[in-house]
Amino acid sequence: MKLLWTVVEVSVVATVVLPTTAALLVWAERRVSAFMQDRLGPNRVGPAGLLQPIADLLKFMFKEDVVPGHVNKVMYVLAPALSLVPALVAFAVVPYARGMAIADLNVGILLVFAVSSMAVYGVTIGGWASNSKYSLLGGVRASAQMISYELALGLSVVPVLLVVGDLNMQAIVQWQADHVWLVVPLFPVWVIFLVSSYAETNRLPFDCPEAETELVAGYHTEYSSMKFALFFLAEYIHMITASALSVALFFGGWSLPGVTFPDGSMGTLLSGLVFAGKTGAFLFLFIWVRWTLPRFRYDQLMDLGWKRLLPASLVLILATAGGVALLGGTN
Amino acid sequence: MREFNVALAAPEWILSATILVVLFQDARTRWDNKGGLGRTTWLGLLLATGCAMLQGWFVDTPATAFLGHYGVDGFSIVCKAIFGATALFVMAMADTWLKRVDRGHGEFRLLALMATLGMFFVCSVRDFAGLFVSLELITVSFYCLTAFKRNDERAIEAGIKYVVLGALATAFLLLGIAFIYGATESLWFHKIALTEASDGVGGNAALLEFGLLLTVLGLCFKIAAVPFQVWTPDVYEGAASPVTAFLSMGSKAAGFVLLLKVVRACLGPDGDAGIILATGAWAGLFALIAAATMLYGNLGALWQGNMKRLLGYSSIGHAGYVLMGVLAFNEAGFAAVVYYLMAYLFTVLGVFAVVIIVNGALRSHAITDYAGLGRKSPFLALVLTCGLLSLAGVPPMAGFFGKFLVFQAVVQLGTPVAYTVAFVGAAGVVVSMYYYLCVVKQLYMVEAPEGDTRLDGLVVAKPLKAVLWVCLIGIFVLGFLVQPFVAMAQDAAEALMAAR
Amino acid sequence: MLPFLLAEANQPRDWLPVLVLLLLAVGLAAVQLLISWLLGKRGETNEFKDSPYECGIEPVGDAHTRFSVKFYLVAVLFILFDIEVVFLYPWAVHFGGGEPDGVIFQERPDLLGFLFFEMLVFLAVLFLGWYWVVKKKALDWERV
Repeated sequence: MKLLWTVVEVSVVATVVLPTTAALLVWAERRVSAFMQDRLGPNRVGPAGLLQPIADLLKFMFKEDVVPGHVNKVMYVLAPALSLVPALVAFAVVPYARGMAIADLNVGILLVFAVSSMAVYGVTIGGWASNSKYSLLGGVRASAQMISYELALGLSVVPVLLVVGDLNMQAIVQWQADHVWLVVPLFPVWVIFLVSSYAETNRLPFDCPEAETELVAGYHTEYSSMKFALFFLAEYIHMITASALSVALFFGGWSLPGVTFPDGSMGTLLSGLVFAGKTGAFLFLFIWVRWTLPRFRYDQLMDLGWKRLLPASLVLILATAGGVALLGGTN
Repeated sequence: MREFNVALAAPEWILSATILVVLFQDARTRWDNKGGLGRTTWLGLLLATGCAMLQGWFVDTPATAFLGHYGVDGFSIVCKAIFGATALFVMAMADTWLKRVDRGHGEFRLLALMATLGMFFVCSVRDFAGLFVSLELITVSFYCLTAFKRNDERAIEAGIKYVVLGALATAFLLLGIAFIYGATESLWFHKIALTEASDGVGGNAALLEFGLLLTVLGLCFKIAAVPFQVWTPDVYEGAASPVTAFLSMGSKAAGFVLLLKVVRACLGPDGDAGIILATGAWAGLFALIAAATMLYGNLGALWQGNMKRLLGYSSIGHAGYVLMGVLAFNEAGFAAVVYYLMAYLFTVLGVFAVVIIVNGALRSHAITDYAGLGRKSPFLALVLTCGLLSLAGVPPMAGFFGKFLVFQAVVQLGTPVAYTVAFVGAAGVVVSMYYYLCVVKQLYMVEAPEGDTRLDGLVVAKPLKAVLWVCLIGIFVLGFLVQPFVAMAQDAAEALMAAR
Repeated sequence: MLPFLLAEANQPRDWLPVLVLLLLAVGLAAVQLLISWLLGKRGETNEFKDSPYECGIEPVGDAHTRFSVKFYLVAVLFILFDIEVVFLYPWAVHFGGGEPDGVIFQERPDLLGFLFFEMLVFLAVLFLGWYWVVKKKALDWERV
């Protein structure tokens, strides 16, 4: 029975909630960008264009599944799947409501990093297997960028661990519910986390791997139909995970200061809604930034990661450790 | 035992600090202003070596630090002195050699220092994790050092061969350690003896022996013994000469130190043969390796026309002689190994010092080019001759006494296997006499071709001249004034046997 | 050695949801690829469809050519630094003040300074290495 419930829960999250959110996010992105540029965006399919993602999906399905003759067939087909799988699995430990997560593991945040760092394989293999110069450049750029910012991302979580003293995501959120949102004491750390997560998801202002003006579409230049959609889906699910992590690690997760949720399923539902709302705000920030800031040049991007964020996060770790020691613990 | 005792590792601390300072200096200075790096390196090496030797007087040995993972005893102190001297000699050679190279000074010194640090740790490790880490610190540094002349195809070839074979040997070693861990449920050296002593070894004996076999094979790579000896001539030839010198002494000695520690760990607590080594199969295995190594090295050297390849094969041969000391599995044998390493230090580094100077003028390692050196530069020819004769084991030299002790230790065993391996060794010595004397003949009996002025007026830098003198004196002192050094080697072996 | 450092371990069954999620994710990707293969239009192939897209210009040579060595360098440096990051995690968790590991603050306050100093040394060495890498221009992309 417990197993059945697990399967149901997991499948609802993995195959319904996340892809649907990702699809809605695509719609939201197009609408928001349109409003920012004084246009209307997609508004014909369904109310306010809400059914546009479904139309897109159908179109992707019925388009010709081109596998060009010059590619490495096995790798070419494998790459989009390799890109999507880590994106979904990385969500496993995200505490999306009070006491709720797909898996409550005490390695928590380590699992997120372990799995999401696999995403680089899909991109690199895709770029390589396409056997096209734009794809190759995009793939190599993407892999270098993702591993570079993984350092800053990994380091920017260490101060959180220093304060909370636990890798378990639920424990991190609970600590914030009991004390204070970590963004308050660790604001600069959160900035590093945010910037790194933008670079990790290959989003503007760090979308050098697919810089349209230089590389056509980067590593997925040679992809079409559903394979292209899988890359797209993976990118948006990564955005959701990154936003959810930002919320869980720095913005109190499902908690609200001064608010105690009632016991039972009602409280759980409310906490889930709070979490969804916060994550939504971060997703909006993703879109907002994309349509506001220009793209970094590649050397600037690498400079920022290696020469600014990396030493800065090392210093912040020491500062946090010193602070924790001076306060004599954080309980 | 349960102490951190941080200060005990002072030599390693000094070396680590030196590495960091050199790193910092290298980052701060332009490519044409790297003199300060050399001074820091010298200072650090001198301090670390001095400190390691002073521990012989001021530390109540045996002592341990870091919860027992690091140990200082008579054996480790002698070995550290050997490694420190090696590093200093090599650094003197490198100073001369680096003048011909216009970039990478910082990297060269850093890598050499890291290899030295690894060698120091090798002397003090007391468990397999430490063994692996310290050995890899040496090996990885040497991977880079071997391919240091990155515009030279042969250096790149040497580097790649070294990496590929090294990786294979490391895999053997690591797998062996895993099996030993499985059998003894511990990474401590001394747990092997304890596991043997209790009947716990019963079901795990095969596991333990298989692990030990793989470990020994992995270490064979470091000491350039069969079956992992093939890389030696190519790497020796391709690598820069100071690196080859470092490789032939430091890296090989580090392998032997670890081999001694592992073999010691298999002996019983009182120095008896223990359960595993008593079976005779192990003595047979070591004898087989030693005999094959001696034959391979000495026969291979016969046909070499290149000085460094010749020294490569000769270095394989010498690994075989030293292995004879190991396979005695007793204190006399271990003392012979330590003495042999001391003698080898002065001998082989003296030879390499001459090779570097001559190569600086010749730009060639062909033995025929050494013709006429005896007339043009008598001192260099003298050092080279003494070094080669000592390598061959001619009586008044250091090498003779090293070989004498090794053969004595083996013959005293009195088993047929021991006699056989001693016989093979003696045959090897006779063969080696021929190719060493061929070089000597080139020095004195053959005139340089008309008009070849490359060897005229060789200038030897001061530190290198000091190395030549020290080696020359060392060769004779270890041949004539044997007693104090034999006593030192015996003390070291005794400390090794007493190690827990 | 230090028993209070041992956290409560997860059971294998706690990992079951992750396994289910993994299988579902693989299934989802496979199904989507299959759907487009089944439903997608089957078109004729021709020379131009089979050649790499280069904005209408005829491709020259194979795409699997050499690219800047900088990318390898970044990968190597990543490995180095990532391992250091991994070392920081256990330290951070146990140095950290929150429950249940805040015990360091109550039970072994004498270790606190030692733990902090150790990490200070570790980070100083790491920082020095980083400084060296920067000064050696390993991270400069403007010049090759």
